[in-house]
Amino acid sequence: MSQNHQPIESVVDKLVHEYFEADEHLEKIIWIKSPKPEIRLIEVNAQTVTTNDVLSFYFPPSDEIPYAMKIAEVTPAEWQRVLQNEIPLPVGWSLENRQEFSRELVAV
Amino acid sequence: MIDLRAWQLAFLRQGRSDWETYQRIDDPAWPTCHRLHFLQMATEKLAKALLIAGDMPLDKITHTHAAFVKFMRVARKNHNLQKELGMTYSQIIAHFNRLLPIAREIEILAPTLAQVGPNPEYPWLDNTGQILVPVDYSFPRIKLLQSQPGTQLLRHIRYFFVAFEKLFL
Repeated sequence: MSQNHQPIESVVDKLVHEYFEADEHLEKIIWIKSPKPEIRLIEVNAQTVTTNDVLSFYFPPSDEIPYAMKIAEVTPAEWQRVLQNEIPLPVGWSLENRQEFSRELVAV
Repeated sequence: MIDLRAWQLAFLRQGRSDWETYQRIDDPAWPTCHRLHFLQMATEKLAKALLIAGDMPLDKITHTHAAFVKFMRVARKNHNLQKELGMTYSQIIAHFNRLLPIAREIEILAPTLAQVGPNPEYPWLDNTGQILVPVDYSFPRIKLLQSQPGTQLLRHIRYFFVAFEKLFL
């Protein structure tokens, strides 16, 4: 059983670095903060397919990541439509309490 | 209150049945369209089984058909999968990148995504105005399934169904 002994901020920080390092097409990661012990991420990537949805996939906690994860990937155009409230977020997600990570601001 | 786990397992069960049917009719004696139809449906439900636990409204999940490619792209981030495949995140990114074009070919078999093009369910008009029928069509683009990345993708799909609980629950 995984234990949440790692602060969620440090886990997110580790993931952000890992994701930017491995995927050169990843432009931005948005951490949607949740009242639940889970990590919600939206990744903006020009290489993904356009679905006009924020499709959030669930992963259970693991030994390395002791939090449930919900990850969605959107194109830059889709992200702009999310910001303009033209594409809804998954149920219970809000842009009000978010933190954005840009490649330029994350030392990879 | 929606029982998400029950819905998740329901989509998984139906997806497994689609996959089993695909395997049973994966024989040249069967028309290609029927094999591809079951393959497309199996992969769509596989992806949707993970969307249900991802805060997606059930009615939206039911009506969307473009889920498999995004599933394949996001699944690379699953540490359980990385461990099972013995790959780092960088390695699994590179590996799956070779499979994604074929995953996309499977995904766009869904009539909604195929629009006026080839799909395994309904007749369509080609560029010359001729009516084409799925059962008579050879689906040349999907022959990519016989390539090395294609067989690797099918092997992964099989593994996702076999090990779903271990990887994703």
